[in-house]
Amino acid sequence: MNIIVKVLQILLLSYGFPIAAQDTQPEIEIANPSAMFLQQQRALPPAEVIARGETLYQVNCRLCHGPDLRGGDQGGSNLLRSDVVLIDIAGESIGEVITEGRGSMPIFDNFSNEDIAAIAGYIHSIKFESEGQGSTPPVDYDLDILVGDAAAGERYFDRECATCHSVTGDLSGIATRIPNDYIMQNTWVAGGRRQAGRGGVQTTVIVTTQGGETVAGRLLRYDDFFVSLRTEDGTYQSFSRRGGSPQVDLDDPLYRHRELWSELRDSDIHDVTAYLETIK
Amino acid sequence: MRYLALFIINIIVPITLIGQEVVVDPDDLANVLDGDWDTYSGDYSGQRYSNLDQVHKENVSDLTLAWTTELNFNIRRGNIDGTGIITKMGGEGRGDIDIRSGSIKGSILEVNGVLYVTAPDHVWAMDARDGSEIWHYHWETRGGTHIANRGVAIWNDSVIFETPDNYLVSLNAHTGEENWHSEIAPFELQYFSTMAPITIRDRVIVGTGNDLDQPGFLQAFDAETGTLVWRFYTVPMSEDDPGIETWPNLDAASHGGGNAWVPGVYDPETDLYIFGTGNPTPGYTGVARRGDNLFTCSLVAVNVTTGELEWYFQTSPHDTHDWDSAQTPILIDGVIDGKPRKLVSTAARNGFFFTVDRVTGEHILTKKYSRTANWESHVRETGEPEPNPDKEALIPGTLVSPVEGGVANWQPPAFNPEYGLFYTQENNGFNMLYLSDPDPRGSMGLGGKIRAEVGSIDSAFQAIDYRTGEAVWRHEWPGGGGVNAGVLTTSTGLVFTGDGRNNLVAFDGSDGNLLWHSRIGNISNAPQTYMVDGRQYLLVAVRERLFAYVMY
Repeated sequence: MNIIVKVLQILLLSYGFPIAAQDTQPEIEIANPSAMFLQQQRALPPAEVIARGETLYQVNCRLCHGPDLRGGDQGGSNLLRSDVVLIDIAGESIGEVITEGRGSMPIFDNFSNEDIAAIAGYIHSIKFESEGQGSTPPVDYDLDILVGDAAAGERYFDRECATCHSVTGDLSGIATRIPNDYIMQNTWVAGGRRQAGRGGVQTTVIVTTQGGETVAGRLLRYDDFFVSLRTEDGTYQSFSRRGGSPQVDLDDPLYRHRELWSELRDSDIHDVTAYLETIK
Repeated sequence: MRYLALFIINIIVPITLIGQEVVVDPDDLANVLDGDWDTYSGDYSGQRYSNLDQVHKENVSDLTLAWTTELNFNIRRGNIDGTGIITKMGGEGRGDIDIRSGSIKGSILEVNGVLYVTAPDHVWAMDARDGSEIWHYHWETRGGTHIANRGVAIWNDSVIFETPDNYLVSLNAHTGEENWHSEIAPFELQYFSTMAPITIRDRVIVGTGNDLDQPGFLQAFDAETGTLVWRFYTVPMSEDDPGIETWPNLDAASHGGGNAWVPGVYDPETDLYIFGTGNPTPGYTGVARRGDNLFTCSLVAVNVTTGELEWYFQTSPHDTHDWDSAQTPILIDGVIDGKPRKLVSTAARNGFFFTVDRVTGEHILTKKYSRTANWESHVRETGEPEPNPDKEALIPGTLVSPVEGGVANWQPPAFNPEYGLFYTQENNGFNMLYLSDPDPRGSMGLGGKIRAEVGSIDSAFQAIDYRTGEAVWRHEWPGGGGVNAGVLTTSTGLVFTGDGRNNLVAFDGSDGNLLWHSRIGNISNAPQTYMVDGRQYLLVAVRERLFAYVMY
């Protein structure tokens, strides 16, 4: 790289960022001040302008930049994370690239200022729909997570799960009760409809005092300094703990599930899910 | 064009405030951590090892609550609440946004009996003796991700902090009046800034965050004027840049993330600032960024004078789980194979502990410190864990450990040089991860996946031998659930942290015995300590409330 270009780049980058110089910067109109980023704060042009922009985009831009603006087969960039789009207010930056070209992008000189503003408005309307943490606008695929072998899943179930569970007992009709495949799989892996350890399944506890007395009940709270429980008759009891005394023995029905997470292969998970999906 | 070294002639004559003592001479920031806590980690080493010794193993249970106070977010335009505090206002926003996200999730600096406390868009100076407010500054924001502020830096008479909408703001430390503010990243590109700046000589080291596939960078600004000195991109920005061979093309590289959002450490002997970089982007869909993706998820050493890369070691090649390696590393003067070595260690979010030569970047040790992390196929001969592609987000679902937040996160670890022990939390949990956007172009940001929490098991607190990576002692938290709490250690062998069960706890750092606890709620930062009027205080935050304990 020659030194003059380098110096120019340094100068450009030293004040703010690679943002195209503009003689007259349009004012940005804010419609949703409480939105996190400018692309969701900004006001959008009227619906008819956006519709016109969409038509122009899908005819002229789609081939390279994709129907969803995320880049296309012809190598056009992803407009939803493009500097030019993100800094654009009303077509001034986008228009500059359209009318002057950039990199491998050819010059388009067939658009009026209104056309360019409409294309920019359409692009901003899609960017407006982006979700949090940099995500794209919502995309909808029909994905099937049921790739497992139900017969293999049944064998795994009989071997590893049948000690505690039965498809004619606690899991009868499980696929009907949990119709969503994702939730079904997440639920059985975690060991309950609610997350493990958050009240879905009750842990019981036996506290043995130094005098040898034992108190058993449903565990309420437990740390290195304290344990509390509710006995079968509903009585609340708590104990201070010091140096592991009094002794606390937990019976966590999910403990086997917790151990299982380190042993389960993903193929086992998919197989068992396929099997449980047959338990209507 | 990877390294931008800008030598800007300073033509602004410094104005000296007569009669005001200098709060912190920048030369003193290199000192060991004792009475004052004057930079993010207390000193440049990242050890969080205080030489204060009034509190020790025999008397720690005598710690007394000296004061507690809740942050006052109210914008006080007149003396209506009787405190005499009128909020100093600044900002480039229109005044129509009030995003209150109040948790204290960073360091509080303490100098000469004054605390500097932050939340996004807010700075308070408080009396370290009783928590009284001295001044309050509010920044009117343009918006942005208000997830946290990690604290101020101090330079002479100014305190300097970052805003979520990417300004570096310098305030008069005595009054809270603004000295200057400078834009450090474009809000338009969805950057957001949380890092506690680090002052080194007359420079302010600044980092930023971004979730929209923008390139990460570290910058140095002039502490006096707020002008940019250099900018170091953590990903290749031209075809000639180092690391470009680890990306399929420049478009992927220059949208590749690697943000510098947690403060690093500084080695004055080599003039190297050493920090961890964030995850590559798009975060969960690596299909359009095949390769190791340098210098994301790496330990990176940058020369503070020139802004140029000195060395790097990648702790997570081609991450696809949002496991930043941004954790504050720790400088260790240690002994390896009988020879004294200058080292740096880090316990990464991905569940691996690393020790590296901090002068050369030579790899010394890789050791898994999580009992459950299951995402790697093996460790390369060169020390980097190799990701197993079968543990990426896939359409039918994969069971992955650790969880998105990782085995450790930004909450800082600590190191006791006398014991040679590195103290860190060990969060062990599992997620189900599904690919929801199988587009061959990759998704964007942290999108393209569905994540379901499964649960946690065997989470613990560890004291790791930096030479072996083995836990010398390990305290398993009751019930096995994970903890996000930073760590403080002292020359008297104490370790302070949170237990995730609403207790602030003190361990005997040599053997892991619990010595003291106080049930104040889950701490939202790391415990800190300082000395005022000859008394040692222990300071910690629980969301919007500060607790200061003292040894009388």
